[in-house]
Amino acid sequence: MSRRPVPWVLVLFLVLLCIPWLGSRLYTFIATDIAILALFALSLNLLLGYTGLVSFGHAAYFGIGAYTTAILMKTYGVPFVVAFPAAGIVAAGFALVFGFFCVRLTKIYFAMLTLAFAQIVWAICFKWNDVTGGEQGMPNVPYPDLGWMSAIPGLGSLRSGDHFYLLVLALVAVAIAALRRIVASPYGRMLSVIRENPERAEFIGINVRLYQLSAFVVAGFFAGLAGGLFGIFNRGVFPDFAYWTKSAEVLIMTILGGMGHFWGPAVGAMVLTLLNQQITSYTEYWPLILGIILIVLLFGFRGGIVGAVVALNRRLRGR
Amino acid sequence: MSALLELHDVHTAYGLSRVLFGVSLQVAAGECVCLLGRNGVGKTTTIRSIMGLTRPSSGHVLWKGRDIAGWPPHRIARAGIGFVPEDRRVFAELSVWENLDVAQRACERSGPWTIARVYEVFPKLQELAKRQAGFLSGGEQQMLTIGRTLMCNPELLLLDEPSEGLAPMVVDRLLEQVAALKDQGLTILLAEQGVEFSLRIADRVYVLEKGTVRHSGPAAELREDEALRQRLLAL
Repeated sequence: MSRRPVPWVLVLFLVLLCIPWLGSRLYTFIATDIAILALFALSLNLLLGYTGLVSFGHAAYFGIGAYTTAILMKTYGVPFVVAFPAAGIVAAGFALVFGFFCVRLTKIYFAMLTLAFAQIVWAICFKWNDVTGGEQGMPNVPYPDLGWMSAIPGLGSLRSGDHFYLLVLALVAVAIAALRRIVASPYGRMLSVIRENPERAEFIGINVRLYQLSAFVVAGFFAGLAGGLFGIFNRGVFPDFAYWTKSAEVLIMTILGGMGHFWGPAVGAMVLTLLNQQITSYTEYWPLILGIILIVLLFGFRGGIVGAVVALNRRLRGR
Repeated sequence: MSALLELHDVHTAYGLSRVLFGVSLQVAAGECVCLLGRNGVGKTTTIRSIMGLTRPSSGHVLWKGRDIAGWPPHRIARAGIGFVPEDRRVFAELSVWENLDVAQRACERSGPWTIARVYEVFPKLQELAKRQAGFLSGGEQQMLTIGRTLMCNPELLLLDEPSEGLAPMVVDRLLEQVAALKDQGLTILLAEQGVEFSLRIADRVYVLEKGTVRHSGPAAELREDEALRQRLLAL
C-alpha cells in the first residue's frame, strides 16, 4: 500500500483562498502584498538559485512591468486583460536588450552592469514627466473591472480589495506553476548545469551565454508580471519601484528564504513582509533589525529559512 | 596523409605567464596519440588550447582543415571534439542518467551514441543510473565523464590525465575501455604522465618539454628502447 503524498501546495492555495472571509481588510492587504512579492522573488531565483547569476538590478523589470500596466490602464484606458500580460512582455523585451550586454560579463561585473541598467531605468522613470509622471509617479492607477466577480455566488459580499486579492492569487498561482514547470524541465536542468560549472557546461556543448540570456529574459518576464500587479495593488506607480533598494530588497528576500529551494524565495517574501509590518510598529530601527537578521543568516544559516528547515527535518528523520 | 587535427606553431599564455612556445602536432583519423611529459610542460594547456578553453595567442588549430582557434568551446564540442578534463568533474547534483541526458541535449550532434550504448560500454553506469553523481567513486566518475562526452558523438576524444589518482586495478579497466573505444573508430588524443598507461594504448607519442615538442615518433620505439625513454622522460 503506497500512501499518496499530501498535495501541500494545493492545500496552501486553498487556505490562502479563504483569507478574504476572515473579514479583515489588513489581512487581505498583507496577503496580496506577499503574493506579489513572492512571485517577484521567485523570478529572481531563476537567475540566482538556478542559473547562478547574481542580479543587483532585478527591480528594473518589476518597475518596467508596473509602469507598463499603469500607463496602459490609466493613460490609454486599456483593459487589464491586455495591460497585465503586456507588463511581462515589455519587461522581457527590456531584459533581452539589457541581458544581451550583461551576459558578456561574469560575476561581479555582471552584477554591476545589471545595477547600471536598473539605475538607467530608474532615472528615466524619475525624469520623463510626460509619460511616467516623473518624481510624482502615477497615482490612482485604476482597478481592473471586477464587477463580474460579485455575480459569482458567495463572492458578492466581499469588498473590491478582496476581489482583487483573489485575482492576484489566481494569477500568481498560474505564474508560479509555470516557473515550477520551467525549472523542472530539461531546460531548467541546463541552467543548473551552468550554475554548477559554466566552463564544464560550455565544453559539453552548451551555449552558456545564450542560456543565461534566455534565463534573464524569462526572469524579467515574471518580474514584469509581478510589477504590473503591484502597481494596481499599490494604487500608484513610483520611480522607487525600479530603484536599487528595491533590487536589494528582493535579493534579501531570496537569500532569507533560501535560494537552494524552489519555495525559498516565497517564504523569504512572506517572512520579510510580516517582520517589516510587525517590527515597524514597535520601533523605527527596522533597518538595524534587518541587518542583524542578515548577519545571523549569513553566518548561521546559509541555506536560508527553507534550507535550515529541510536540514533539520533530514536530521530528525535520520534518527 | 591528411590529418583530422593539426596544430601549427601554437603559442598559449595565461596572462603574462607563457606556457606553450610553438607546439605543432598532427592526429590522423583513427589514431591514438599521446602527449607525454612531466608535470607543467604544457600537456593540459595544449588540450585546453584545442578545446578553446584557453585561447592560443598565435598559431593555428586546424580541425578537418578549418582553423578553429578562437572559437568558443561549445562550438568546438559541436564540431566533434569531446573533452574529458583532468579533474573528471561530473555535474555533482545531477543523477548519472541526468548527466548523460544533459550532454545529449546540449550538443544536438547526431551519431551512434545513445545512453543505452554508453551503458553497454560502461555497465556500471546503468546500475548507478539514479545515483547522484557527486557520490560516485573516482573510477565511476571517470567513466561517467567519458560517457557524458560520448553523448555528443565526438570524432576526437581529448583525454587529460585519465589515469591520475585512480587505483591500478581501476586503471586497467579504464585502459580496456579506452582501447575498446579506439577499436570502434574513435580518434584519441591523450595527455599522460603515466608512461605505463600511455605506451600500452598509443600509436604515436609526442614528448613535450618546456612548452615545445621535444620528440615525436611511434609509441613502439619508446616501448622498446629503454635508453631513449630514460633520456626523454628521465623516469
